[in-house]
Amino acid sequence: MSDFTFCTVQYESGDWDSAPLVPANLIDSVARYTAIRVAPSGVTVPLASRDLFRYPLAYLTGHLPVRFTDLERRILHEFCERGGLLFVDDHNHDVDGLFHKTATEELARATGAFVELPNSHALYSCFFRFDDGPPTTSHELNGWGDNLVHKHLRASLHGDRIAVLYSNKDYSSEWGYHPDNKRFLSVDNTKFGVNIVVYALTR
Amino acid sequence: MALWRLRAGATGAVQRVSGDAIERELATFIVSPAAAVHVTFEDTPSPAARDVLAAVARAGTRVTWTGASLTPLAISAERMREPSAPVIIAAASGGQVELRDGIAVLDTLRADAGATLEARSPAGTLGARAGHSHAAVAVGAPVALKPVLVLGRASWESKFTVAALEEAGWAVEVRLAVAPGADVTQGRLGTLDTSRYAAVVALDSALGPAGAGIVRFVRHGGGLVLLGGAGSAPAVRIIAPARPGPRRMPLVRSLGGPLPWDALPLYPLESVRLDAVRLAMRGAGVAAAARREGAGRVVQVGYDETWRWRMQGGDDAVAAHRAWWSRLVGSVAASPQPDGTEWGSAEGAPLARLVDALGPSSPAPADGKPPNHLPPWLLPATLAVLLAEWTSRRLRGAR
Repeated sequence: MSDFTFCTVQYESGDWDSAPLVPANLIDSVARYTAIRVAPSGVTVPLASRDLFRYPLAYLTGHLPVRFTDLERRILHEFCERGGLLFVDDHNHDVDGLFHKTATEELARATGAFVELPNSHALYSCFFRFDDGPPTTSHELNGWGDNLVHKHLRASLHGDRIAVLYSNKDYSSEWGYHPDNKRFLSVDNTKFGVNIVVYALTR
Repeated sequence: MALWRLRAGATGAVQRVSGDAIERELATFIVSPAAAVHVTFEDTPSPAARDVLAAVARAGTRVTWTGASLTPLAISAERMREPSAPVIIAAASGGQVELRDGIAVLDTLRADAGATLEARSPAGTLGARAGHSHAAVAVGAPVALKPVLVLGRASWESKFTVAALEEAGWAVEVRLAVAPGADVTQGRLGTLDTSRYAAVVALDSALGPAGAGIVRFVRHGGGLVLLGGAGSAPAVRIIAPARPGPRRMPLVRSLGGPLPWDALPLYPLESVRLDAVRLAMRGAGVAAAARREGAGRVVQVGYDETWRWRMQGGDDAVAAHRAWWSRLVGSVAASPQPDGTEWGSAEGAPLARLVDALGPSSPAPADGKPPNHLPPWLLPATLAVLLAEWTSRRLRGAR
């Protein structure tokens, strides 16, 4: 059995590397809470590379406008068709921001329309329980960005499975710290990230 | 019987009949049976015609036949135990054969050494035609299959195995270990019993609480698929066809080639049991084996990380991976009906049935010659013996 390897997607436009601490933090959480065999380091894979198919869960984030090349769009489409799951987080936390508009437009072109994910979805109960749906972030509560608390995540579905999970909540900022600093949190805010990994590995 | 034969033979008639006139000639056969009947078949005889001739032969008439245009054609069909219930049709004719169902032609194949065709949802009777010969088999209705239980650890293999089976139409229940005491489950997860499940798929050695009931489940008719190193789990070791050896990485790296198996890691199967059948090899090592255990079946596959085939294989990899998993589970799944009860294969090999009923083809006997005629010297010899006996008695004074 191969180890789970956290994969960050590198795309041509925008700032794909805006949250460099997130992978290590989530890897730490997966190893801390589960028995899933996890590679100690993540990888970065170009969206235009078929190497992406070696990592069925991939993470994409950024602040800046997103424009996929034709090849990136094709690879992403095939990735989802084969059963991969792309987790996209708006690092801008700004509904009217450039990342949100352009990323959702590009993603919809590549993988299909988005729907609102119900807060009763298995994603919120497959390991840790989140009875109210996606956990809020400090950016939402502080009124940054669009000054909204987003009650739902959105998803592009492939059958009844999530192909693209899209978040406006800026988990990239929320989880962007060194894993050792978890000890300063009363509640580990990366637990939802563990759910994303567990869901990806089991559905 | 001998007198009848002599009488019939005295008529010296060999009735020559065309194969398609046999049923019409039935009354003639009964009312005034000939000494011999020779049938020339231009086409495959119907079961009724063959039965008439068999009855006539048993009544004492010598029946011979020829059929130069008949082809030794045979067809068989087996419905796979999968949700889509495809039918595998096998035909052999020594040449080209046309396969059809009750509605239309399915395909035309070269069947010199046999050929197979997978039909997704054939309608009615399946038939094969080669030249003037035809054969047919009835296809039973699909049966509803029970769910499959997938056990193992949360991994890419579990994700894509469940996905493949669900996409193929299987109802899948799941228990996947995520952390000590924490499993991801799907479905109602009832008692492991053949009344609830068709098969268990063990992806690795993490079998959880269901593991203890697997041996009993299989012995009562359930199916078991053991993947990779799962065969080493204590709960299933005693019924596994083999013992998984040390994991080996593949020598071939590309999963896009024609043999994706060679690009997957493998637990070569060692110490294969004597009652197990080797299903696949990689080099000199056994890659897959199967055996029966009680009323159930176990198939063990040494390949690991089959999900890579789906994600990194060629354009058809998703469908191929799905079909492979569905067939693998179907090969062991408990079936609501015993094998073979739904198949009417009476006319699957009509020429063989004809030979069985009437013997091999042979030329017509010559007219006027009774089929079991006496040697020409027998009558004078008999008379001479009788005369000698009479003369002897007269000479001895006996009466």
